[in-house]
Amino acid sequence: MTSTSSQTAFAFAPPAAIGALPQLPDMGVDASWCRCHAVVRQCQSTVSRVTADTDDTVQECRSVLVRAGLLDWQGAAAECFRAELAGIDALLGALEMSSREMLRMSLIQGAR
Amino acid sequence: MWGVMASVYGDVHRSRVDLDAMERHAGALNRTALRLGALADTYAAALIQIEALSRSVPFCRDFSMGTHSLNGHSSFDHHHLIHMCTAQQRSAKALASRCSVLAGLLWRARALYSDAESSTMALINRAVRGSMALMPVGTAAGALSLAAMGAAYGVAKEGRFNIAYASGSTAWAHEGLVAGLSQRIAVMPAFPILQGAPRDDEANQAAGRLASPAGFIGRLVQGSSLHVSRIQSQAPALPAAHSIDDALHNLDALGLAKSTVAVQRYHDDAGADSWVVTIPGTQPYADSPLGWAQNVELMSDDSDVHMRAASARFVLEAMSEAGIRPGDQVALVGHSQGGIIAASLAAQSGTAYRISHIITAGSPIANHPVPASTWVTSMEIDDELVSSLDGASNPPRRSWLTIRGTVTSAPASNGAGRYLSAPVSGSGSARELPHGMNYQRAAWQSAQDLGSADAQEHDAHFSRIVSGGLQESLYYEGRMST
Repeated sequence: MTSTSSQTAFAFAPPAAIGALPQLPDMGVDASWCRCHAVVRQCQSTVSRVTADTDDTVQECRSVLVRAGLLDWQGAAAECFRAELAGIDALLGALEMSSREMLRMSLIQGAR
Repeated sequence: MWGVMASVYGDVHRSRVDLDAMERHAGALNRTALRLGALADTYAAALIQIEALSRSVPFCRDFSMGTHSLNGHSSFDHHHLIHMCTAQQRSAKALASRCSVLAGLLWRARALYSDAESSTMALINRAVRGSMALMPVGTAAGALSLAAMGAAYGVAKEGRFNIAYASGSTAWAHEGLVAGLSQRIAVMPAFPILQGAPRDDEANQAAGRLASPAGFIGRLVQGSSLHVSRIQSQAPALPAAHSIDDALHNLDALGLAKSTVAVQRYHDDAGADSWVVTIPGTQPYADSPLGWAQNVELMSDDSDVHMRAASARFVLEAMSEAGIRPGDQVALVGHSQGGIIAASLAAQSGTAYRISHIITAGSPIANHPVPASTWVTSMEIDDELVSSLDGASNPPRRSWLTIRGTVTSAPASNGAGRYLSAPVSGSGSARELPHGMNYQRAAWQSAQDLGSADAQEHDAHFSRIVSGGLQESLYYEGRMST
């Protein structure tokens, strides 16, 4: 019965390429079988992977920046170099925060 | 707009450890840039994957629209996720680029002390010199062909003939060609190393041979009578020069006046006077003692011939009239011929003056026997012929620092990239012969920006000479007549 209802719903759905999907009638059926759940898990896994990758990269970059900041070098270019290291460090922080926000968002939304 | 990248030659201070550290950090930053680039690619891949996944459920309204599910479908705002992924990809890419620029800046600072480049230049010089000795016609023809190709490239690029391209295309061979040609003029053995100690002063020997006829022609055209007169003011008046940069600025400004030498007196707290004598380059005026013929005399290998040159006599007379005493410290600052005069006076053992420091810009003085007690700070630009007319590299010693500039396109106007080279003030879009003071100053600026310890040491030495306050600036004009 469930299967038949779903098939009915799909039969009325237009192809995605045509345009925005119309509001489909709520058939009041259990949709836990729908592929959308698997897709969400895959999206979450993807986001989780890039977040982990971002964390690793940021950690590695920060250690390189800290060591580079200790370089014994004077002059206007050296001052600019150190200021730029600090600027990059701040941006790495922002990159890390954003990736965590992505992960948080994907987990919260997927749970709805 | 053009820029100049400096390299520092001499018995330089910076230790191998510092250079190795720079190299190591530059490598690490490069790897960081690659890592961040890879992260940007990861975000790009994630983006594609999320887009593909979202398209794989086109008929699931809640998923596609990201709306709250009422009937058990999963809700997921993948549009927002894709937007965030795009932003992250851009950020990672921008960070990779900034790390890459920083790595480039460290490599640039490391290259300030490129021994390998110096050794390669010496080898090329020897090879071209040898080629000139064995096959003078073939080598000259090859050099001319290269210059012609450079000129043709210039025509294609700028739509007109521009000699700067011809000069730039043969810059690597200038010293060798001059030395080889000089060997012919000086009638020296082709391979002096086989007959004794190798020599690098062929150009000065050749100049020595040409000095007599050049001097004769000069006296014929200009006369032999030198008139030096103090002129009241120089507009604008030269300010105090307490650093090499200030001194180069004054030299640049003085070049606008006609055949004028500036002598500035400084007086320190201990009651001692010190002096800075600023000498411009070759002047285009027919009656100027800083004429073309004097260049040949000053380049001679005979120091007596140097002192016969009207330009050297002009500067000595100005120094004498200004009241410089034998014990006073003197710094000479010269552009082109002015620098050769400075080196000639410093090399003159019998000179009455205590010349503590000379600063030369675009002057071929490698073979002038300046004593080690006199500090020499030389600026030379690779792409122009004048500073290569000595056919040799300046001697590498602690008190003789050579800053070689290479002309590049203009540096970035902001960020760390702006220190990869120093901008040449007043340069336009067209390429030009980089002999002007604006290029020499940019070379010094580049070395300063990159924190050359040796440049700082030379700057400090010059500053100590002129540590007192400026008391007076005297200007002397020289004229030749029959």
